[in-house]
Amino acid sequence: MRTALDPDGPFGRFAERLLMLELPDLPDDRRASTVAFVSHRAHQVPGPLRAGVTLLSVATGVAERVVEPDRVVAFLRSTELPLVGELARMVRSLAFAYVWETWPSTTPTGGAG
Amino acid sequence: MGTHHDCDVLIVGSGAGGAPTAAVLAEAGLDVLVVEEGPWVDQGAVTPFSLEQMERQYRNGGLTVALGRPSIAYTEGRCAGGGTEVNSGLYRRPSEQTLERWREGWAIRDFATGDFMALCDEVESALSVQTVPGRHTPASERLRAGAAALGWAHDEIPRWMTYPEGDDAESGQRQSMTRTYLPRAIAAGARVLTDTRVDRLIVDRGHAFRAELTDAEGGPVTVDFADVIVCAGAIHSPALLQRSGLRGLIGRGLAVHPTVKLAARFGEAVNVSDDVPVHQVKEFAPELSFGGSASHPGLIALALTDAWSTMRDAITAWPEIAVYYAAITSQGRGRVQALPGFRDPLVTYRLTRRDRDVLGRGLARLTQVMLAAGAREVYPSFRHAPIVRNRADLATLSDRFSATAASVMTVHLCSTVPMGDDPEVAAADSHGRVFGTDNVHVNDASLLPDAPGVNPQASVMAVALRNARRFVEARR
Repeated sequence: MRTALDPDGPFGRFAERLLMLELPDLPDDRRASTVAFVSHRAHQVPGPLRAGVTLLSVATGVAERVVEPDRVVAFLRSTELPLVGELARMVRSLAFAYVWETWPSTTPTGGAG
Repeated sequence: MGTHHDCDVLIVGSGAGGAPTAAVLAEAGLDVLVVEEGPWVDQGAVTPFSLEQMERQYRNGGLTVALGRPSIAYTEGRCAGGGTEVNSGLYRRPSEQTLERWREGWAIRDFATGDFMALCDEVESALSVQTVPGRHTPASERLRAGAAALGWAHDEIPRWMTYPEGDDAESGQRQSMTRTYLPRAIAAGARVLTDTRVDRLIVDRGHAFRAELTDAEGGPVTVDFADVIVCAGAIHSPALLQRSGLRGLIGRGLAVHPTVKLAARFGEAVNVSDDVPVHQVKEFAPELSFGGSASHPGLIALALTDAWSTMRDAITAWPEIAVYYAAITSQGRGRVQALPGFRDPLVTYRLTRRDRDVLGRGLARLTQVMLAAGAREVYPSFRHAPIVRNRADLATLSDRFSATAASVMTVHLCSTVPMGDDPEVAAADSHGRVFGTDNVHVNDASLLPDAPGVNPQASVMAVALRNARRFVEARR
């Protein structure tokens, strides 16, 4: 069953855009692998939290239809609102841990090193 | 129609509480069934502290959080042996003051300090608890040197390790539950059912007689028993009891040791990706303790993410970087609540203002230790953190620190079913029998009345042995 947390759902699209901004030189295949990893892990989050992440992801998907998607990502990257700000933090934490554990010589901008 | 088992005693969970309990009961001749939600993974089959280990041996892949301001990330083992398979194996007895506080504050019977310390002796022998006989890791040595340069109290924390292939820290073999108490239990006839979750206990007028379980394929399993001992850890023991209709104070008093982290870069290679430092700084204990964390490149990137735009260039120097933590004794408390329709409970934790202040003070003092140890740059883990290169930068760190902007985490969780004979503050009696029941027991970190201010697993195992022996005596 497809969910909002799948790599091609609103959560995955948000994760991909965030990575394009924060690790712009990450090769496409590595970015796709990283997004798949982050989405997989998002499905493992405890149920009550997963419900919250799903809700935020759906809201992000809706907002992207109204506002420029990059502006939505920019807002979520910088907001310090409780809970809302945790979405970008969660994606960034999972993605960065995965990238540098998998490819330790990655450059600070995501280049293959 | 699913699988069915019968036993004298059902033990839910196989970690630091469940495994010693199973060994004592099975060796006393009881028919014991241990049910473990996670898989059996032999030591050495997975790289320690790796993402693969988090996937296979941690609950929810390691993505568990107590919501609050700030939220506190925590981790729990979910495998045969529980947390003892995945943690750093550091072992510290509770202080005599802690034992007295528990005994007096919660009216715990038969809890003499001398008796408790004798149990610790026994645990230490069973687990080969010892200090590193040879060289320490560079990251551990740096922490020791920094504390020594400041004249601050510090020492080496023993671990449950043997060193059959050399004396150095990195040659140690963890003596976790799958190598110690679980094999003892199995040798004495205990059965261990892995990859199976206990969904709820059927309790009728205070007497539990059946458990409903789900196996790895989603199939139903039932177990009938005379007694049940819940050892699923400080989050999932209260959650299971609540799902079984038991409430009262259960789940209300969650206590943790919140920690904040930093990464420190030295002028030479210090990084050991699959081990942790064994030294701790105790100058400000029990309010504050400093130690070292796992530091593979992924975890270093994680430590830098809160201020990535400022600190990202450091990641290429990861061989010269190690991660350290400051842990506090918190005055805050949290709560575990089972919610209808969810497999996992909702966990919340509220830090007090004093806790938030101590976290900031701890991070600043830990940074001092790093500078005294020769760190070229220190990278504190909070949003808008500065890179600290000298004492002048410390003032900037203190000015900018906010606990709500920090990545706060913990690995020590306890006190959700506190034991004692005072029902105003305890949820189980002095030996772990849940109030309002005649055969539902808890025997894990949930019973500790509050956070001990040191690594809690020594306390957990000693309490488990004590209560298991009492249980056997009562059955006779």
